[in-house]
Amino acid sequence: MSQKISAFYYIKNNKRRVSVLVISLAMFSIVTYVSMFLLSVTSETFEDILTETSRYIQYIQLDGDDLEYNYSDKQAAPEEVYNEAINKKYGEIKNPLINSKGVKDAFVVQTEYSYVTSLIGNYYVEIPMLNKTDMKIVLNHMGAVLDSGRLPEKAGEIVLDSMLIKNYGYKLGDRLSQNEDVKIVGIINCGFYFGCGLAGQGSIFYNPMICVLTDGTVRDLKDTINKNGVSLENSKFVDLKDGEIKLQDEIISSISSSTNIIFVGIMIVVATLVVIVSISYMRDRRSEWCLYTSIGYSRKAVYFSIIRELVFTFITAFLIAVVVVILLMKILDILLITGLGLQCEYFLSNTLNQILCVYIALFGILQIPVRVEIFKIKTIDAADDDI
Amino acid sequence: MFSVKNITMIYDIEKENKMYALGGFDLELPDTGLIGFIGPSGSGKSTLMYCLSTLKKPTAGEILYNGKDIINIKNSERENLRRKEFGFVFQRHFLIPYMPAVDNVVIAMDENNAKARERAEGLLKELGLSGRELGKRPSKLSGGQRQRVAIARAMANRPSVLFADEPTAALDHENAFSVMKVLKEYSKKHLVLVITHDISILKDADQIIEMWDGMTGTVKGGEGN
Repeated sequence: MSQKISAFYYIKNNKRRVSVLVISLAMFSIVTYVSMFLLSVTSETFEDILTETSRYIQYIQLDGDDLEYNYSDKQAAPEEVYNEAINKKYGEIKNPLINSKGVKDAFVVQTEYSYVTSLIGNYYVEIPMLNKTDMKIVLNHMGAVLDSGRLPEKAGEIVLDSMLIKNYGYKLGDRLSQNEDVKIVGIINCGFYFGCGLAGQGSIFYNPMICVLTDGTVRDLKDTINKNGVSLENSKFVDLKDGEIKLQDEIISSISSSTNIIFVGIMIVVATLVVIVSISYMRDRRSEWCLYTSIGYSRKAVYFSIIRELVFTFITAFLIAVVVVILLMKILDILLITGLGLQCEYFLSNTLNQILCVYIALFGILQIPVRVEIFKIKTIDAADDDI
Repeated sequence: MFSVKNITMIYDIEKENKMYALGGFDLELPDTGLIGFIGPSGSGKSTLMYCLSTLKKPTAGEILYNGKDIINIKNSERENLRRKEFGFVFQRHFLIPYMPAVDNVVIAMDENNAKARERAEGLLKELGLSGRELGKRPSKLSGGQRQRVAIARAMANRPSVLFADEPTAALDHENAFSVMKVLKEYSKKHLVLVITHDISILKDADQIIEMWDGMTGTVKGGEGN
């Protein structure tokens, strides 16, 4: 027979019933994707701090053993001795360090900190404090453009990227919440959670570290400088490798358990709902399918008409979900995420894959009741008893 | 057209008290004409019609349609017969509840296009439905209107044989006679088999076959003969 049983006969005339299934599937996709999107704000933001910034600016926290400095001396002459030891060591390693592959420059800096608060948790950001010349080199290296205010001119003045400003709610002239002696005098735009300032010239550096500017290719700073003869076995490297490890261990692994619980929970509810609704629809339509076979349609034709209806339902649900999700993400981005200076990623390939897998799994599960109903099809006279 | 030999239909064959719906008889049916089947309930009229139309498989016997056995045929051949050669009007209308009247007819057609739709509308109008009623769902139609939609669906593909199991049961006399007029007209070029309890509607039948206890009884020529 040449005419197929059009899926639209049922869909067109049973909009309410079909929309229950479409809305269930679409809601599952929307809730899942938007939940993952909100959770991704945390991982994207912290990824930016831990890995993206670390591609261009890395730190070495020199250890006492590498400095041949005894921490117990700190009691006698604490900061002076430590600063002297660092400067001495830096003097020794400066040339091979700067000439290492991928390293562009390096300085001894005092470090201040600020915190970035995401939707879940917070993470610290190093703020190097340098002399005026080095500060300009660092700002230039990070691609910073002054947005408002001015560049630091006095010791204790800093500039912060606009994302940090928004996130913490700072204004020009505010003091850094972690250190009241540090004043924000300018807002820069560089696309990183970054800031830097002027240290007191010739004064003691508190929490001194070696700040290393890299060209984006250095992942393992320790290994890179080791190849050039700089051996700092006991020191701590805040580099891309360290950032990746922290991101995985401290951020992604803790978030992924939440995402898995959310995903599985939503999936179970939706799968149950979809299967129950579909089975009830199929039972209601048994006599219709019996009629089709009685007037010359094959079981195969009936089966494919059901499949076409399901495919239409699933695709419609998916398309509705795509539109709603994009709108919701845009609204959340404008009203919440950008306002808080946080990062987000619209295209979550893993979540999209998971949703598509659930669609395929549900489609597969629905084959069971469909097949059962197809098997039960009789000619209409025999079905009379069932109706 | 139909040549039935020793047709037997036994329900509950595995049980001790078997029920013989068709007791083993022969029957020859012509290529055209209006044939009426009358008899009390349980006499085997509907079972015979279902066997002839391939909806039921008899327990024993032979049914030849245009010289070809139609009992043991492939599913595709059976579907083709139901689709192209046979049309059915069931005791209950069995219309698809969510489809408008016209779609209930179009669904049985070979094609679903403007021409098919036009023909479906023409058939429904010929059977007495008004333009407004064509777009109504079965639940919004009267019993008689539903039955006329079912008749239009059965005639949708211009079948060579039209099986009608009590097609006028839900109609008043006036409507019943107008439906029978349509069937009579159709029987001029095709075979129309009508089951009924109401012999008055068979006044124009070319042949009337009485059935009793699964057997054919008297075969009479109707007034239309």
